Amino acid sequence: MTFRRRFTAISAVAAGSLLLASCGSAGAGTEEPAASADEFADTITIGIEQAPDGYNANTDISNSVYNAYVDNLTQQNFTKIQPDGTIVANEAFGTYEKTSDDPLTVEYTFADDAVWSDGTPIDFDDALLTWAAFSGTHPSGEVDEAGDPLDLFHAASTNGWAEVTMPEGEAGDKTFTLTFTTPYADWEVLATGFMPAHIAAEQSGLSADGDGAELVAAIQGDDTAALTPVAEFWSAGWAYQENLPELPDAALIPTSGPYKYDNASNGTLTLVANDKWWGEPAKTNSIVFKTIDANEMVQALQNGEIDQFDPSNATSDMVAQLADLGDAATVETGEALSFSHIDFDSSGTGVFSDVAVRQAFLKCVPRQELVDKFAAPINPDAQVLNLREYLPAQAAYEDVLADVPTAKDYAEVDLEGAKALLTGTGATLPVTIRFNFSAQSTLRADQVALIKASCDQAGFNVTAVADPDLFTTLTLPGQWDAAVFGWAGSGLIASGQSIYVTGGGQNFGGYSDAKVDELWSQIVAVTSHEEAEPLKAEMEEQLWVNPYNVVLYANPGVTAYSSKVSGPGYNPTQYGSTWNAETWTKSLS
Amino acid sequence: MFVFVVRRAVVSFFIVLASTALMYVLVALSGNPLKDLLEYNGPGREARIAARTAALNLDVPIPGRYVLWLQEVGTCVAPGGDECTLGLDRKLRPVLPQLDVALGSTMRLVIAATVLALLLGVVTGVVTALRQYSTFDYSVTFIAFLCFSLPVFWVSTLLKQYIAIDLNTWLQDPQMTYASIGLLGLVAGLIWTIVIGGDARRRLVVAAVAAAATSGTLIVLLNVGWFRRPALGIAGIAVSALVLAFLWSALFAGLRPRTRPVLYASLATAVAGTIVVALAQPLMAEMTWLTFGALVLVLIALGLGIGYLVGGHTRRLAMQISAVTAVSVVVLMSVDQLMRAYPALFKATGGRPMATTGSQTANLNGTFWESNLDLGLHLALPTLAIMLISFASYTRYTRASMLDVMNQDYVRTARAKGLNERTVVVRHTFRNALIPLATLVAFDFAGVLGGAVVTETVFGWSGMGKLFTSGLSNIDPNPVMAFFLVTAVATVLFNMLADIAYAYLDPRIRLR
Repeated sequence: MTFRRRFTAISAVAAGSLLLASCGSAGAGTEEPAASADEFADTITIGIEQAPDGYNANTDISNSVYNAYVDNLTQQNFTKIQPDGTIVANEAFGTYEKTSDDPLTVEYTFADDAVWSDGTPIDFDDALLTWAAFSGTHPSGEVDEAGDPLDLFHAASTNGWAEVTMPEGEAGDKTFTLTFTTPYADWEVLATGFMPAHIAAEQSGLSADGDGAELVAAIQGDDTAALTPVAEFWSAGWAYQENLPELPDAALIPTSGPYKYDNASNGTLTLVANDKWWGEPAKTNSIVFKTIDANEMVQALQNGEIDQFDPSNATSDMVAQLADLGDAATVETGEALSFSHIDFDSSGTGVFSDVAVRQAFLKCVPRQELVDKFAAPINPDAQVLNLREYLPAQAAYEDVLADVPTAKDYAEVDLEGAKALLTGTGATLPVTIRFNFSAQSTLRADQVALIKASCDQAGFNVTAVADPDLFTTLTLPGQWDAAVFGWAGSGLIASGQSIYVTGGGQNFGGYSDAKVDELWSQIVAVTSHEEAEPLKAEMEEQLWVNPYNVVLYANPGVTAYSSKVSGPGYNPTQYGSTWNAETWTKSLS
Repeated sequence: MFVFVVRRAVVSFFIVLASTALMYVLVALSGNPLKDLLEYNGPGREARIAARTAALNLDVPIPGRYVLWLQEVGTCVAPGGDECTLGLDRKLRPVLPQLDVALGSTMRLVIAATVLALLLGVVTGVVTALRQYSTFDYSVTFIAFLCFSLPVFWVSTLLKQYIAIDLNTWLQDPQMTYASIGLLGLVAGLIWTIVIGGDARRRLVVAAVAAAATSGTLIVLLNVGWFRRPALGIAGIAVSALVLAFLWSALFAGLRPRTRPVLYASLATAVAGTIVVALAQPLMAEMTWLTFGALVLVLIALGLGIGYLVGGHTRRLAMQISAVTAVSVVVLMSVDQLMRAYPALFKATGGRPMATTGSQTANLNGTFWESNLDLGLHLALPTLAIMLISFASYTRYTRASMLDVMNQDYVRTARAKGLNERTVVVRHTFRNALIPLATLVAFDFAGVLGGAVVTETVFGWSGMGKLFTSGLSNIDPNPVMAFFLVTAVATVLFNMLADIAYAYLDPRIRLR
């Protein structure tokens, strides 16, 4: 070895070691004082899978469920839906009272101290704008492809509001009355989606003075010219950019809840306690919503970057990963308000147009096995579903089920019985079934394989069809025989109508039963859940007697949160787990 | 040259046009854009379907939609037309601002990773080529192929587990058993031995020295609580700056008597720079990008001045290397300040400063150094994930290219005429070996604009990759086309630039 090489080598080692060693010049650190157990953190962070897409979640293009997660904390309504689906009046926001059944009339009163977070009182102009936006009574003069007139306001739905006549009143009133031209079953949860009318007015060239008198006059006078910019702003002016890189001007987005908007960047939204909030103050000063890919939630929770999340599509892998976190995280599982089911094409000359074939199929589908394999690994309490309009997460499920005796006939797999029914139809066995499922879902593929294994023994020949565009195929009767997919339950009384009645929009199989149609016409006219229950029980019974579909199970749901946080719980309703986030706390230790 | 550029531009225009048409049709045919709404059975189903149909012009056949999109692009090119939006997405929001945000976010994420991977890959490639078939060469070859074949999402998950979650847990109570300190020392010894090589006796000495130094340093650092309150200190900056000054001079100027002034200038810059940094300490707390930039300029000017004064007949080289040393001092100073910001960030993040997702801690409102440390720690994991993979290819290309050049006749001639090894390697071999890399780098930078789809998803960055994947999964053509427009133009542009660069770098090539 030459001197030079040795010199190079030694200097390199020395340099490397020196670089490391020289780092040690700082003095000894002092220990941070440990936080005591009764101190609470200033911030709770919630993981969401998609960024909220707008301040106004009620337009026809905003459909992110995560808008609701934020709105729970920023927008108040006259009612609050509990996790079991029951409706509780929200006295802080205001009171309401049904004053007449015929015509159905409801009187609403905003709380005296109810104000937007910019200090403007919440009053009549807000209510009137809500009616104007949702009632579909402001034709723009244009028509859509089908030739139907388009409304100025692009509301997600006019369901219910379309039956309401224009509320009478004056600007500044704290009270308004909704009068329904036809009875509307879900009236109690209708009065939601209040947007700040003074902002909409100001942004549309109207004055917000006098409690929004100009806007009130424009709506009452049906002044299309004045309302056009208002409707445009209502429909598009409150939208966020994709992935929420920033919030709109803070003055445009006042809130009516315990929190108000603070800032947003790169999909992360921060809410802070609303200093103008008149109700029970929020327990934690700020709530941060962080947008994270669904697969990365568990590690983010483990690393303390988020404190809570609800997976939209819980898998058994995720539940296992969460279990590995041990005491650091609390995991709650439950039954979601959505369910998996098999629809039949019972129209025309398809195999399932014969009731006996449908009954035979009902007998051979291994429902308990499907629950054990696909739902129970996530939610150990998963059970076979026997109803469609009521789900196990809802308080009324057991009561209604007691009045649906035919469901019990199909509790067990009965291959012999199925075969006997099939033979009785005179068909040549095996009966071939085209069983469609979404090609993107391995879960559905596995389920169809399991059903095939069972039903082929009963005389069916199930042909699995992996369908890249299932819902288009469903609208083409004759192209399919059976299909497995999910429906979401809404908790509303009347929203299921279009699935079950003759000619209904989502009655893909062309099912038609006079008794079901008659019962639905009664159900939509009731005005309370109590009245609806016996009618729905009868309807459910008929859907078993003359089988509509095979209900499998309520989809399993999960919520997970850091053990430092107290307050969250599993909430299957569309409001999601943040429905009570203003009461959450996070301990520092 | 001019003819070449014009011809290429015309051809490229038609290539991009044809590829956009193909891309548009493929995206539009890739699924049913109404899928999620058809599955929806809540109130307002029809209104939503109608709104989406109108937004995406689904009533127009696909070729018609493509022409509509071309018109939107046309307004961006033609002056005085409508506002340039690149079309609207399915929620009726203009695409151009989305592209803006995505491009900015991707730049921050991918450029640092690409540059670092390039530097590290080239250096490693050169060293492995110089020591072909040594243990070091074999080790690097092994690691390169290993990294090459790793799936990004898997590496990312492991990085998150070990370098974020576990490291954070360790940092909450930084302790190590003597056994693990000893083991780390041995590993360090082994690495240094492989890197430095030599005969058995020297390997043993190197391993022993490195093991002892590493273990010793760790013990000291742990005992003084350095991992809770890390810092370099002025003394640390001074020592490191001197070492680096020596290194740059030895590498780029050599230590012969003729170039001695370069070494002196560089060392003087290190000392003077450290003094300036020490004097500037009161500025550090209120640092902004403006004062930071001013400080950088002052230090570089200082380096250039010292090089000018001390350089003598090697003035130009001395000025260059002194400036590099001054920049090194800036880097050391920044590292020191970032380390000093660590305790505050540690507290603000609830004791878990290494992040697994996102680009910054929400509502940090920290000082200049705290915010930048936070950004850096958020960038660390994705950068590492991207680097691991592109590093591998750069190493292999550089090594192959170096070996090729080293066997050329002119390198033998250079050696034969008595040039020293440093000059042969740095000036005659390395420069020529970089020419083929120009193509690779050009393509990689075009690729950078496309974002890192998997890395962005895993680490929660909403960049170009996210724009593309979410557009594609929603069957929303306009964001996908905006993405494609940028990447397609970048590809043809950088391809052309690579060809032009070739002509400059290699006089044997003529552009026609």
